[in-house]
Amino acid sequence: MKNKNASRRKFLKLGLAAGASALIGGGSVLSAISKVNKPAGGDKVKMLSPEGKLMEVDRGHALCCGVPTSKEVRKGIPGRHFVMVIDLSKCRNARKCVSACSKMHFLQPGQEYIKVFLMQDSEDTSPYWFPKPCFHCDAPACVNVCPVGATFKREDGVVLIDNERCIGCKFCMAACPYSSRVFNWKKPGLKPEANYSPESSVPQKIGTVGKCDFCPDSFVSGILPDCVTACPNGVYYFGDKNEDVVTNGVEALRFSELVKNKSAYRYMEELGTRPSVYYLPPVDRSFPYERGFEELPEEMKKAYKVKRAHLKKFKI
Amino acid sequence: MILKKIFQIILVLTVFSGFNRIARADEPVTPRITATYAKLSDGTKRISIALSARQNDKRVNIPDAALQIIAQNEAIKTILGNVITNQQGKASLDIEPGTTLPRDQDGYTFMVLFGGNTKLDKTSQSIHATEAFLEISLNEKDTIKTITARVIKHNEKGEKVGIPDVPVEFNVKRLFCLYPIGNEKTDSLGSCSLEFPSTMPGDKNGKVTIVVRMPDNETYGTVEESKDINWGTLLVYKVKPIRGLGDTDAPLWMVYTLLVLLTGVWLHVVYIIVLVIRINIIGKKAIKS
Amino acid sequence: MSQQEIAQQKLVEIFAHFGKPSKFSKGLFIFLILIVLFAFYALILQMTRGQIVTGMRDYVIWGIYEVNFIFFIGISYAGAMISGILHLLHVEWRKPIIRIAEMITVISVLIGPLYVLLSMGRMDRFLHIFEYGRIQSPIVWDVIAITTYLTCSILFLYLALIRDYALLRDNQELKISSFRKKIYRKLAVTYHELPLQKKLLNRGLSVMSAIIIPLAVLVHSVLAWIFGMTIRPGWHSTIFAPYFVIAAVFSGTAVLIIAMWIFRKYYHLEEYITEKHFKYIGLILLVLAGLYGYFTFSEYLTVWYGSETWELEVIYKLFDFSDYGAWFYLAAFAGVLIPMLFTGIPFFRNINTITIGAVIAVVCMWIKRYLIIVPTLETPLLPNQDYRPEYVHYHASWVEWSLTAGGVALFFLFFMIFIRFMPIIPVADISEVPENKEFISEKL
Repeated sequence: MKNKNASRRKFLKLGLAAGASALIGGGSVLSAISKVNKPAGGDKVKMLSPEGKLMEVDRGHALCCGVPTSKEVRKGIPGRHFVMVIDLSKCRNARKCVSACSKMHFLQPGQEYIKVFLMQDSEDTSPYWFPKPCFHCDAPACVNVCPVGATFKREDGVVLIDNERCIGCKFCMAACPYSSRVFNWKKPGLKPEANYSPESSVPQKIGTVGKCDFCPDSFVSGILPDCVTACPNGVYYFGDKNEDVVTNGVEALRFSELVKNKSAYRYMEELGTRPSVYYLPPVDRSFPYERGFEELPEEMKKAYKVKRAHLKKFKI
Repeated sequence: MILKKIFQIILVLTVFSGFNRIARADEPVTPRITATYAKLSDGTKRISIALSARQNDKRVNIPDAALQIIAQNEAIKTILGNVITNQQGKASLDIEPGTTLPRDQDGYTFMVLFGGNTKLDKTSQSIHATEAFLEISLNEKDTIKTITARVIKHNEKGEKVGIPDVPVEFNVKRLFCLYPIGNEKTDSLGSCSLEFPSTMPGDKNGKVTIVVRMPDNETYGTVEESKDINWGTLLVYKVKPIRGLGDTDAPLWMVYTLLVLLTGVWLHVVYIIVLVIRINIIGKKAIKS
Repeated sequence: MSQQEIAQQKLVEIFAHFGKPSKFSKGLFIFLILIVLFAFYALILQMTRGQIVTGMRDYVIWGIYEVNFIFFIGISYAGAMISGILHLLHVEWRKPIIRIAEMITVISVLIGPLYVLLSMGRMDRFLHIFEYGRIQSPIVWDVIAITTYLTCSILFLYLALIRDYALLRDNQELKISSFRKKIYRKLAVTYHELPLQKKLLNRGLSVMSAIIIPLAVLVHSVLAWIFGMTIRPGWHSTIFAPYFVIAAVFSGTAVLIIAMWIFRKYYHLEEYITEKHFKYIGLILLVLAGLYGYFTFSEYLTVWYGSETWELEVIYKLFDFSDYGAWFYLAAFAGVLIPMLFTGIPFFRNINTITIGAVIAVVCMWIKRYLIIVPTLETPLLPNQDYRPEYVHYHASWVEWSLTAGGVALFFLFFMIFIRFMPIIPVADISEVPENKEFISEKL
């Protein structure tokens, strides 16, 4: 939390005030801990108008100009193409992105829109941590197979799901080669008082598919996805490819230069899905990969250590 | 860098452990208010506040605390309103342009008050911001585009004077951040200039927003100014309706194939139904005769 | 009375016998109803609590529901292919068994799609497919193909029944309720064996049997494409459509043999369904088993030889005895070789062994479909590093098993209901003079 704070402070320096919020209502200094379920992005901002009226403005996950129509939601923001760059050399499986995402999307316990894998390309190479959100592919296999058009690709590159249309056939989950999608097997526990929109995907709906949505409801207000700001190590860079700048909340870099200079790649390019997520190779690491195990519960540690057993057994 | 991260991690831990310690402490602690003032490019004045307290040699952010913000001069005190700190112990107040605030000769004084409770003492902090302005002029000569910024303030006579030797940041506004294109220091006249990079993308008209800031100055706070100009490279952006696998409309060959197959089969179904009806009619006729 | 009329009368008597259910069939009926009711309870549980009550999780998103779906659509091939092809070729001995085959088709096409509904998270939104349907999606192809297929197989069954209904309507000695008489009268339209009527009916039957074959091929190809269109090892294969088609005809034929055996035993139809029928259908099963084995071999050889990591992972899950090995060898070897042994070698070949072979084939085909669906889903491209064991390995829950049992019970129930309204032997056809004298050799 403090880390987020620190990056946010820098962020303010960059000229955008995020995070600094003011919530109406009293409460003791210490009551805060029980209030962790506030929507992280739903920050309110106090605004004093010329008439001397003190207003509260939602600066987070809401649009400046009212709720977009479903047509607008399916179209996206014209002239944008959102991309993410993930710097594998800085990831140490801190899992702050995972928890921030789960909190922000009110995910059910155990559900993860972002998964952090422990990858090892071959026996001779070193393992590395591989955070994986939805790749928002430009040729999305999931969108192709959807029978009802519940999942769709927008002009701005974002792939979303309309949970009010989804029939729960899970074909998209079968089609996605990256296992990016999760299913709401049971009734979502938390029921935030929010109007559903495919852009916020909150509240979740039972029997439908969910996934990382790049948090497009905050794009208009210029607020970064929560995983980006939550990461203590600045692993995630996010931005508009057409603007050619990506930022991790601390530094802003030219996208074209970054991917060129650091030999960025897209995972499994040969599958032809054309992801919008680029990876910077895990060279000159900030952390040894073992650090990633430090704060993990025992069962997760174990799960990470399961290798491709069958291939081993048959000596491949 | 790593050290800084470790430091941050330690801070995280203290945030959690710290609360409990405050809770147990009998002696009230005096919290610290840090307030900063910024004038944004749209004229909004923003007061950002951070509230923290020292506990067991560690600084702890205080969330959910009510703070009162007052604008004042020698004569008047105007209560601007109350804000509540967030999880990070931060709060902010935006004052929209056009709001009349009590001011003194060269700027504004704001007072931030914390009322205190059983565990925390009441405290206050005042900041004074001398009003400063940023002027941007944009020139283009022989394809060289130059941004010139001048930082000025009004002297006692109301004349504009440049503020020398202050750092100025030049940025291009992007959706999620400001992209820094350079840092300069003002000269004796309060101006500095920078060449605009030639490869910066703009929108479809080439429009970019240039944001110049004087950051975190002790006397003036943060001052920000912006200007739009069509210096960026043009965004070529065309959306043509495609009938692809992922689109709403199916590829035409698919539609035709399906139509041919379906009509092929269903015509036969209709034919069979007609046959049955004919058999029925023939039978009825036979019965009649 | 001519010889033909005597034969007809006898058949009608047998059929009329169905009117009074025996104690055994009453008991069976109640037993099946109970199973269906229990499945219904499981269904309500799944609908109220969500699919959390199944064994399906984020990686293995389809379980035995999908297996049952393929299985039932597969056995529907009995009617479509066997009776369609045999009808087109005017194979005379088909007559006593085509009704059974066509009934299997209609019933299994009625039941199969229920499992698609079950594997959907939101059955209540099923109509969205018609409201928002995108024809790029293989699921939409499937919905279109199966509805068409169902319509055509019902028509096919009905067309063949018209003559029987006319016969039953006109039979005065038949002691059945007036309600059923009324139904017969309606269903028989006004068919009176007039030459023109007969000509039209035969034309219709020929058209239907010609249409149903490509349609059946298409339905199972589309079904295979649901899997084949995804980039997944074990699924993304060009031979998947023909492989599924062959597998479907294979299992459909096997189910037909089992049904023939049951009806023969229970209704004492030894006179009509003879050992010859078993041997002929057994030969078809033999050919299909060979074809199916050939496809299986070709599929796994190609993939294994290619040695792509992702593909190999699935393959070795199937080969490894600590994983799916035993099931795989059972399904891929025993399920093919034993039926081949019983149908191919004259020494082993008799009604009972052929039926046993068919049972083995059917069971193994179900297992094989499980092995197509589950191990692939258990092998994602990125490693499955989930710490929750139920997310790593799929185990069907009792809800899924009871709904599976419910489907099978429903299959038998439908059969019991169907045979009360339609003769399981085409009475009119069988007493007819053969269309041609050409016969397959007696010495098989």
